[in-house]
Amino acid sequence: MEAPNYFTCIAYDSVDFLIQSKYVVFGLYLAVEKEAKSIVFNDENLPHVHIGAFLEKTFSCTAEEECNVVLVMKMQAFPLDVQKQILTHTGTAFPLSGNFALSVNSLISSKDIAVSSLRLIPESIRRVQNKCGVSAIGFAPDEKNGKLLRKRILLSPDNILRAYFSGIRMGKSEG
Amino acid sequence: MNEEIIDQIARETKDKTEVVEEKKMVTWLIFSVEGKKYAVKSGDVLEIIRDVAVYRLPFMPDYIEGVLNRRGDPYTVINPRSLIGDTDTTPPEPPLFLIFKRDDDQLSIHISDILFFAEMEEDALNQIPEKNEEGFFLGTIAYNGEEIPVLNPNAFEILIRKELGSA
Repeated sequence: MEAPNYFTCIAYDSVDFLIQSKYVVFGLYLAVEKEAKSIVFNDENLPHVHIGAFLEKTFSCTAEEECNVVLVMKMQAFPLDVQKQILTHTGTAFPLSGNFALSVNSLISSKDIAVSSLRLIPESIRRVQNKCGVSAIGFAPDEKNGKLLRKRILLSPDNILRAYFSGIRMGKSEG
Repeated sequence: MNEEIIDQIARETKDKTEVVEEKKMVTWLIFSVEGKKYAVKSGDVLEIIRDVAVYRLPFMPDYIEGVLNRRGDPYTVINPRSLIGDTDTTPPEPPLFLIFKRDDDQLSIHISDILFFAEMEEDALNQIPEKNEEGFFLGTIAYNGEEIPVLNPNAFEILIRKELGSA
């Protein structure tokens, strides 16, 4: 079992998005069409959702290095409403393994980050931030520019997907 | 034998004490937002922070610029201009922020400059008649012939909680 403070870190120019590693089965560099509704991985046809453009637009950031990264996740870790929205959006059934793919267009890495370096969002704006997938925030020295601090955002995978699908329904985000 | 005079002395001492209490002093922090002067009670301000970055957050109303980092803790940054009646709502240019002292929230406003501190009697505040706690102004204070509007820090938090459904 991984320690609870291991995170999959998706790095954009001004922000690192953190996802608890327990939700990520594999993270791999794989050339996939952003618009593809399914991808083949390990002899299985996985539902595929590309959230890179949504992250960039929503958080006003850009990929540090354009690349295709696929995060394979277990549908069982997600609430039923999110599973249903993935099915509806991709039109692809979950395979036997229950895996599905989430892709982004920036670098990923695995990081051991002290949970104590993260903070809850200020209370009056917390509810809205949680709803759109932001669970906590932290500030870390920028490795490229030590004087600046980089924003770290702990993402809630279910809520970021809810926000993504809600954006699509409202015509605010692209697939 | 001296009861009467002792009572009298005690009464006079009490009266003096009450008079002193009536003249309670308040320190006002006078600051500017794009050339206009405003005041807040210095007791409502936890800290003045300069030269820190504001980190934008999504799905926020226009008057919330984002959060700033105060020694690792995030504080919501409010651009007060549209809320206090400015037609130009561009955030003040200098990265200067008043951190409000709040029990249950982390809140700051973006200002242009700190001007001075003024100590005045508590009743120097000319309160707005029929003011309510959601109003951004508590009243005005007179200083050197100038009427300076006094901001109500509670109103900012009340507005955010109301608009973002966290009331």
